[in-house]
Amino acid sequence: MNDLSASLPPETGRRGKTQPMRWARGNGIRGDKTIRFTFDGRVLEAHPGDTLASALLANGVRLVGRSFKYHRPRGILSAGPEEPNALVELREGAQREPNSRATVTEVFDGLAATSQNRWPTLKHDMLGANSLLAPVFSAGFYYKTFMWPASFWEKVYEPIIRRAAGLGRAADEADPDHYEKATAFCDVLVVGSGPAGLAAARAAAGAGARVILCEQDSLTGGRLRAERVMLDDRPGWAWAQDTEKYLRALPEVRIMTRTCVFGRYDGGCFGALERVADHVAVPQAGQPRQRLWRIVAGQCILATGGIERPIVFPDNDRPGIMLAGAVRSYVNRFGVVPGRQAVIYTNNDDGLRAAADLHDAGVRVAAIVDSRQPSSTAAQAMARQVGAALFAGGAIAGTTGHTGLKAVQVRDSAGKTRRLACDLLAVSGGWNPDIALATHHRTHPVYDDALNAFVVSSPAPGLHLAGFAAGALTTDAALAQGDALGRAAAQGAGSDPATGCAMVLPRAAEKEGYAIAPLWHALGRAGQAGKAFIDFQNDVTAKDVSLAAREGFWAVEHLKRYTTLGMATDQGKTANVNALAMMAWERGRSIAQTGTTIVRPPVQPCAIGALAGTHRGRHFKPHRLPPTHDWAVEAGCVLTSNGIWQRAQWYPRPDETSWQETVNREVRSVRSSVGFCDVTTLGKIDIQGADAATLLERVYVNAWRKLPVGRARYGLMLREDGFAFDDGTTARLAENHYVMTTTTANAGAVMRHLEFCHQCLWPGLDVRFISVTDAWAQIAVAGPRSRDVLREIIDESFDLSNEAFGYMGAANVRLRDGVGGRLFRLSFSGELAYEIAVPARYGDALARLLMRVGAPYGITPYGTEALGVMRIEKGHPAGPELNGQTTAHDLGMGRMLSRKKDFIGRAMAQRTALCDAARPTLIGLKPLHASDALVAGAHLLPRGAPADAASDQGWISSSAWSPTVESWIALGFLSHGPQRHGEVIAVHNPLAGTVIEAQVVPPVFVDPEGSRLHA
Amino acid sequence: MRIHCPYCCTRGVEEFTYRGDATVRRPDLDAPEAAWVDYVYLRDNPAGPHAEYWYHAAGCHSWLVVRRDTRTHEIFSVQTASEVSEA
Amino acid sequence: MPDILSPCAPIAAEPCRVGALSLAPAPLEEMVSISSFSNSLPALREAVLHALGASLPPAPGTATRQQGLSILWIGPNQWLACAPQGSGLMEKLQVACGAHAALTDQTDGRVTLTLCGPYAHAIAAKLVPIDLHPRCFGLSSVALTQAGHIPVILMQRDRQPAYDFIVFRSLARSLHHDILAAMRGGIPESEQN
Ligand SMILES: [Zn+2]
Repeated sequence: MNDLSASLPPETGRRGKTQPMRWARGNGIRGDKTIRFTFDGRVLEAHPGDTLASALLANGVRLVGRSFKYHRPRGILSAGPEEPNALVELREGAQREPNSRATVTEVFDGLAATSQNRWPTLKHDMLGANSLLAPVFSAGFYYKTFMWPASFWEKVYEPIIRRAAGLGRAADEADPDHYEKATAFCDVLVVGSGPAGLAAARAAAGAGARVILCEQDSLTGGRLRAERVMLDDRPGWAWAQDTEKYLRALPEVRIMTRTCVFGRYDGGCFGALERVADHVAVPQAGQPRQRLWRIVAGQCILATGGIERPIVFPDNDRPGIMLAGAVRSYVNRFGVVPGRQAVIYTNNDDGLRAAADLHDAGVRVAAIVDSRQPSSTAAQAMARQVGAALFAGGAIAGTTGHTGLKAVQVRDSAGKTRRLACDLLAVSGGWNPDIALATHHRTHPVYDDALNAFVVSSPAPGLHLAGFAAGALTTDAALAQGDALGRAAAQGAGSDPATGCAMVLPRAAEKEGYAIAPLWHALGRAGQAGKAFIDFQNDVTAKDVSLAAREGFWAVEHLKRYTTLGMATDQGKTANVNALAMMAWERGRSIAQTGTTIVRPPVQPCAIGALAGTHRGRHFKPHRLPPTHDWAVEAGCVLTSNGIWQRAQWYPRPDETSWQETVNREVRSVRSSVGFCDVTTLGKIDIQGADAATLLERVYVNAWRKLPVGRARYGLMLREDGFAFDDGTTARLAENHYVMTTTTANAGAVMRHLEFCHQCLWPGLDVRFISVTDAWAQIAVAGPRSRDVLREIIDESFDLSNEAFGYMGAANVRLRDGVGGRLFRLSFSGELAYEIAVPARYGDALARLLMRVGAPYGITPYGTEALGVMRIEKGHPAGPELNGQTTAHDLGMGRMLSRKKDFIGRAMAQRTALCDAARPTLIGLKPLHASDALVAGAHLLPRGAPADAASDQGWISSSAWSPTVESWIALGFLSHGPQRHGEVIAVHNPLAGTVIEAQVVPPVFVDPEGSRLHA
Repeated sequence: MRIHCPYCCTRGVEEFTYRGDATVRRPDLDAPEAAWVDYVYLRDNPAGPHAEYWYHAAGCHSWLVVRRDTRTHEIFSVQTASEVSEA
Repeated sequence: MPDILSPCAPIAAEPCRVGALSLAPAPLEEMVSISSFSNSLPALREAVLHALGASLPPAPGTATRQQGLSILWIGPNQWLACAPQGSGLMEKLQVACGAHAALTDQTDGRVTLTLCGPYAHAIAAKLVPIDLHPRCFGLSSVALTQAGHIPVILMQRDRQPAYDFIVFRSLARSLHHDILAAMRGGIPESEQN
């Protein structure tokens, strides 16, 4: 709750040693408290409520930065987020943030701000010499100047340009701050808290709606704080403060200050960025610096106000030249006068009001230059009121003052030019409604000739514009419109029209005229002296636009890209319309005919860190941990990611010097005695129902009906296009009850596939399935002594003999201490092996138990690497073989395809090309020299054939050093593969440029007869 | 985009997985190859109203048939795929 | 003497506190998923009522809860029954409704993390993208959604407010971290007025 200055009347004439330009407390400043900050190392004072811009101005600092291309001295143009010039670096070290707009940066005690894009200092910037190279930097310079030689681009041109024509420096360390995301819902979202926004929020809440009011500023009130509007004889900002207080007391209203709504998306979704701790030195522990909101709104009212346009004239960019509305904001809200002697340059009545505000703040207003001829009665009255000379039909022909404005050249209606000394030029070229959010989603703005600006005439459904955003010119009109739309939006979002009572609106005392006369093509076009800037941030001048027109880049999208107009942090908020108007003039067309570009989110810069939120570094993705994770880490395993699963890759021993040595030991232990491995990560799906077997028949290529209860079977699934999708074993636990396993990688995809089959293809099937992957800790116990180990664990009443529980057996078992589990006799390694499943909570204990009871057999835990080696030795296809491009036939499983039933992929698998014997088919490979490494991805060529695509006959999919065969081995796909066992072929690795000779062998390197498996 | 799941009410699009054209129908096993090619590979890409499968992956696991305008993302109707298949 | 397997929880039982907020795993409960077979729903409803003395919740997105037993809607024709350890939930259900529904033990498949304390809804709103306003999500409301990147079943346990995040066991630690980070991030100022 902000009530900074409710009791602080303006206090004039306080010009002390520090903050010499602070004339009063201002309605948004806590003048009773002083804080310190530094700018380029200089310690300065400010008050809470100051922006960096107002604080610099209070201290008489006008020169704030250097421009992008020409390194022109620049000051502060605006008092809001549209600021193109006053960009600084904030904070230091890892927290350094470049290109921060001084006009929206809140000063806090200890803030360190640094000017940027200058060397060695802001005042003496050597790179200002760029100005002398101006012809080189004109529109399209990138495209024209650096065309040749191409090799110069990377080494010469780009580094030079980057140094000379960059903006701030990004921090070179990781951002240490926190960011987070949140979602909020409402019936009515109101963006902007000026008179229209506050009235809208009040009306919508009164009508019973849940309301969110977002204000990008730290204070509500909008222009009511910048201006001196009296509402019912009270300052407008005091009404805003009271209304905010009233709204905050309502349970269904949420007011979010420092929150910029930056984008409008489908379905009533909005993106908003809350600056949670940007205004304090250090966030509290754990507190995010910024919070990204997704706001889901039934209806939205945009009360975003307007953005003032500068006027294009020669040397219109000197520090001290400021938008008239910004001048009023500094005077009234911040109690700061941005100069001591001012000139006003305007094409409308609103710009005149800066004269009165300055005059009342003790600033001498030397002249009012009114481009209108004749000027308005308001102009004449204002000139009299403030004692200023009035130049009706006048123009500013130029300015002087190297690092700050010293004088302007005023040309009167007769063409006579005179010099007027001043250090402040308040400029108003009229106002553009801020319609950016309304134009997201490709809503095209239209040009309004009366308003001289682009407006949105038919906003998207559920979107309303209120106040100046909708062209309302007076405070009264804004209040009335906000009030009416607030009620309408509440009803649109479903509130009962009978709810709520009409609220009395305050009345503004002042007659607020506008009377704008367009002033687009002032002085400064081609052939005239001095640079007349249109886009300050990109240093785009009137001449650049003329040049673009002459060179044919007159379409608005071309103009933007050719001149870089409207790019970078301000997105041309103060520039675009002036540029379009100039292009229209160049082409002899109207602005409406010329058109405008539409904008995309975000309307203001948004840190990538905020978009990432908490999902960064280690927490970029969640981790899935198998039940034996803690034990495995304790046992010293090296972890690897399998999707988001974290699995043990191998378990090194202290005396081992390489992972290969570890993996070799793990493989030998399994093949010679016994080992175990957590295989919980394989997808497990519980399938039940009268039609469970039918579903299996349809998703697998092979037959399932006759699988007896208590048995498991290997199954292969195809995609509907006939290519292999996934494989695994499925066990029948009861008449209508199966448990399916999938590969780790495809667990989710298989579940989705089953749901598709059940919901979309065959909804009549009476079958239910649910994932039980996490419910069971499943551990493979493999090796010739695995039965001996299991005998120590499984209840004695269960007969583990080969006769009673053979290969592919499946049973419910009890462990010796009574825990119920499941036992499967499955083998991925080719050894006598089991998979034992216990409720997940016992997984950790089971691993420890296996270590204890297996100790006499030298039981060895093994990781995914040894698992992989052993499955290659045994020729089991896995992910690299089921790569989406291989068929059952390619995998050597063509005979599994049932001819007696329909199944997913059957029809397309029969296509001639997919049955072609020349297709690369699964084979094994052994190098002629055992130590020649085979590499996955290598190409298979006939011996002696050239290494080209025409000779390419296949590839290696998986390879490993086999400690069992004592040779490198590989699985791969080779054209006519099964007919070529025994042939020696060439294995070409184009990355290493090597060719190795290898023999084609059957894809089973260990125990091809399967005697170990069935032992 | 927000999709109204008949079971879970309106949810953000991030909870759903887009699964393509919902107008195609799986042919019989003995249908000509052309029918299968059409089913597996050929898709219209209408600019305008279209029926699409969306899978409520992070919700109730329902396959939904969403009729929407591909140009504006306006959603006209949402039905469960099973009720569409059974109809 | 056979070795005794002792159970191991993925999250330590002691609550984590940030200010007045607390996050703790709920005690292990017996959990059984109930998925109605075709044309069995009326019989199933009756059987469940008979076996457990509680009804299947009437509508999606809701739960029935009484005396330690809760039955949550977790999908079309699918529910999750939860009861204290030792209740013999699976046995009771098997006897009563084994013919009407697929019953699957989920006791070990899911972990419940309970977030409670003032403004718990504001913390939950950082995790789940659903409207937690009382008019949309009240006591015993259930939603299948995602907390950040993690699928969860969310239930409002208490008006206090307290929320149960029911999550796959393997993801419990990641979710615990994410909820704790959200708690440490503080209650947004705009929630507190
Ligand atoms: Zn759903």
